[in-house]
Amino acid sequence: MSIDLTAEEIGLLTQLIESGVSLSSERLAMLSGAKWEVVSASVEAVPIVRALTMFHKDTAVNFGANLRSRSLMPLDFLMLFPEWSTQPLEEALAKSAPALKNLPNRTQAVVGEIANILGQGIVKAMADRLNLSILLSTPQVSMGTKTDLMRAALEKFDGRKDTVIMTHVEMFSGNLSTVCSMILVLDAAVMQRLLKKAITK
Amino acid sequence: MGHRILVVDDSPLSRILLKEMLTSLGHQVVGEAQSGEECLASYKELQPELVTLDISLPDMDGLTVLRELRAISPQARAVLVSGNDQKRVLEQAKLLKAPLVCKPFSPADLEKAVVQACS
Repeated sequence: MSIDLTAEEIGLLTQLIESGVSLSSERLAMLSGAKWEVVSASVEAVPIVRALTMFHKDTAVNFGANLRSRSLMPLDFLMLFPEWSTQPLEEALAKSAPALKNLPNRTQAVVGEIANILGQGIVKAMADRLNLSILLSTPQVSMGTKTDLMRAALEKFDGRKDTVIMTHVEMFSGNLSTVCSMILVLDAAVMQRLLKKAITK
Repeated sequence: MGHRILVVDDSPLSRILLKEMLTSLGHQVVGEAQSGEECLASYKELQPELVTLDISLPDMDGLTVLRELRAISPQARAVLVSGNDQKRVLEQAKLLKAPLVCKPFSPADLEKAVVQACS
């Protein structure tokens, strides 16, 4: 189904997302001991078929961590780290916990934990403003191209007809020489109903 | 004075960070659990003075686990350790008289919450 958000709804959603991204980048800086910058951020209603093709030119292998909520506000959060980008993060975290070096599947554990902290940051602004509790699942970490990981995260949607609200944020740390991407996918119809309710209150 | 603490978190990374931090603060980590069911079983077996409890667990949420712990032992003490510090969650934590430490946190944040939970 297609969704047409009003200017007021888009304004409120953008404000909530910006607030969430700002909190997430502060938390990532605290966790990694390095400054992070938001390179780009977008919020738009997109058909699933377009969401699935947005990374089709990027064939690099990424670690992807997926967190979901199936509560009053269904959402999927996907954190993407190119394979080369995780080493500086692992080293940064190991500074505060040397035992981390002996952890089996260390990269997956680091990616999962960072995704959890960032995902919680980005949904907090929405949960608090919309007066909801959004409990995210534990992160599921896997590897693949960005398109593979997006397809897995969006499998519940019908690629032929569904539209979602998608937030795409690219972040960069000059201090750590690393990057990551955050994708937040919101059920468009539910989100529109919640935004309407918040605006009319 | 150090406390005997059970660490409950599905993330092995978080368990390591918590264990190192709590040990450096003079506490004794007597056990670890990675799910709500494991926490309840370990609590009965180990009788810790305090539980650090993640909110996002694979089988049930940490607030539910804490309610179940209190059903076993009404005096059960817990510090909630989570990236989730939403308003509604903080309200629930307050009702359950369990301080919440938001990830990422410093040793001082954690110790303050431990002292509060044990006071």
